Amino acid sequence: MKNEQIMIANRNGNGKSEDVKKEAGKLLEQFVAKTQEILEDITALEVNTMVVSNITGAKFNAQKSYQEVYTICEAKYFEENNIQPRDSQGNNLHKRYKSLFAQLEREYFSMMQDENPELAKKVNMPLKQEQLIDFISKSDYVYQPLLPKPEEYQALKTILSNYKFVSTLRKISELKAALDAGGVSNPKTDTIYAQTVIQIDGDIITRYHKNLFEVPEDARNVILKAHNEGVITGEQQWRELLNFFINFVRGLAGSK
Amino acid sequence: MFLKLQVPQGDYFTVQIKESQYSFYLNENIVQQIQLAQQTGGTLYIPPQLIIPLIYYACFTYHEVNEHLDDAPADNKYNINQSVSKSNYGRQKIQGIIIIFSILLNCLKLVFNKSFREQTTFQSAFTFNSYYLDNLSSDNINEAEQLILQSNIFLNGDIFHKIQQTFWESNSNISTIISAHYWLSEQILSYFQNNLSLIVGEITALIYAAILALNILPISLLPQNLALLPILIVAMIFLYYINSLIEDILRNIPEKRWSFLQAENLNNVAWLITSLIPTTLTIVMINHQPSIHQGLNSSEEWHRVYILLLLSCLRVVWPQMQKMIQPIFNRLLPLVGKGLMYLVSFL
Repeated sequence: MKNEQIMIANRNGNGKSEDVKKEAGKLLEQFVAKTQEILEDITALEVNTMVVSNITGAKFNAQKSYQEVYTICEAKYFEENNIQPRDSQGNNLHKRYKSLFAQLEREYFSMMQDENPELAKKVNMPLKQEQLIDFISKSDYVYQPLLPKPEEYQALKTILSNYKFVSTLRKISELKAALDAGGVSNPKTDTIYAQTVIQIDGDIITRYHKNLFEVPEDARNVILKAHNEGVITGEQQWRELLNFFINFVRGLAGSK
Repeated sequence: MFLKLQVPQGDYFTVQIKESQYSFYLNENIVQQIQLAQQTGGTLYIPPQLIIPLIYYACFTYHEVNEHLDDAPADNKYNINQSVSKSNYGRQKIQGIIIIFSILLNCLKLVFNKSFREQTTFQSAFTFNSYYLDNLSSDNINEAEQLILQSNIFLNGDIFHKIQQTFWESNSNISTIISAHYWLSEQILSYFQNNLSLIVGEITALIYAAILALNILPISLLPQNLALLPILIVAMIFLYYINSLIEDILRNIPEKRWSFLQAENLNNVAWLITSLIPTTLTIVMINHQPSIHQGLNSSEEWHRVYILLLLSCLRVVWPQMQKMIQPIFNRLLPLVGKGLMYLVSFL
């Protein structure tokens, strides 16, 4: 097909039609690839039930969340925000914050590899991965992030236009909100009490927080009932919603 | 957007919709009625004309990147604050027009404005909030509703259910409230699946209205004068709503009188009547003001009249069209998609 196109172009003396066809084909491929990307991340359903001290009704602000997660890698973060190294259960709180940041950084790595492979080759990925692991485990390690600073607005606009990145950012900000305001003061708040993961190969894993068994029985039953109902409803709805989007987008883009 | 929805065989309650965030305002009464509806298997009625705005909100979200990080993001460029209620029919229609108009403007903006397009992505999650007004709390002078439950449903399979702590500890019938919250979210999500054919119908109606509107104005004028584009859109929306008005009127005629007004024919007859408007307009324009159509000979204009009438007659004479349009649409959709890609590459 490419030879035919070149012949036609030469005959017309105009290579523009060939470029346009390539461009259109490329655009279509990009569109289908993007939708495939959206759908390929669905290998598992995870339902979390948590109790929080305060729920905000505000709309998710991507820029603000990005700034909050980015500042975790800065040296004085834990001092400035008064975060103790260990929470009331003795868990390493600093480590959990850092691993949230690491999640975002890793998401950025994979995004870079997909979208900008030349730039990705210039960066020594294995070295960065090792540095990231050191950052999480050691307390005074200074890490140079690949993620753009919150002040670099152009770069920020580019990464926030990536659907997968924003989705991950949103999930991380949810988990971070669960870590904040909890901690030492009140062990009952801002904890995920129950989590169920349903994987596509049929494995169902349910995890309960140990504090759940220390609350009064009535309250515990409330959580358990709410969680079970949530799993049933969630699984049904997730499956149907998925079918809806798949059929709609597949119809629009044509099957590949 | 504020909505008043009715629990099956119950009272009305308010739902606020902001992009993909749905907020339910509940009280004890409503919760009990929802519990009853759950047991009897009732479903929540959401007006079908909302399907297009809701799909639009469900698909796109706008992330603004500002030099100065405000606490209140400026989403009023994007948000449509209209209250849609079942009560007043005429007002409902006008609000529907305004909503569709804003959505079309946003779509145009998406196509033509590059920075807007960069900052718009697919929506990543649905959020359902429940506010509860506790009638029994007498010590609370300010009876502001509290946000007690929030569910974030991500499209990649993560679901977070949050329960507010004081509510969890204090309230006795919390289980029913949580059930009500889940039921409402389920109803909203299944609204999209169940109305797929309606979506197809609405989109084809819009496209048909666009074709009719295009035939009013001489199309050769359009590339030179892009200012006609808003007029075109206005005409399109006008025709779309005239059609829906006519459909509603026809639907109210008792079946015994005109038996051919069955469900399939209804749509076609409505479009026939609607098509008479641009047809008469064109004929009037040809006869009285030939100067508008400079450079066009009159046979071209008559061709357009013939096409309009032919289209309308086809729709009436061919009653299977409504049933057949779905598989055809499914097959055409990839072609339309590819064609759009091709067109977009020209811009």
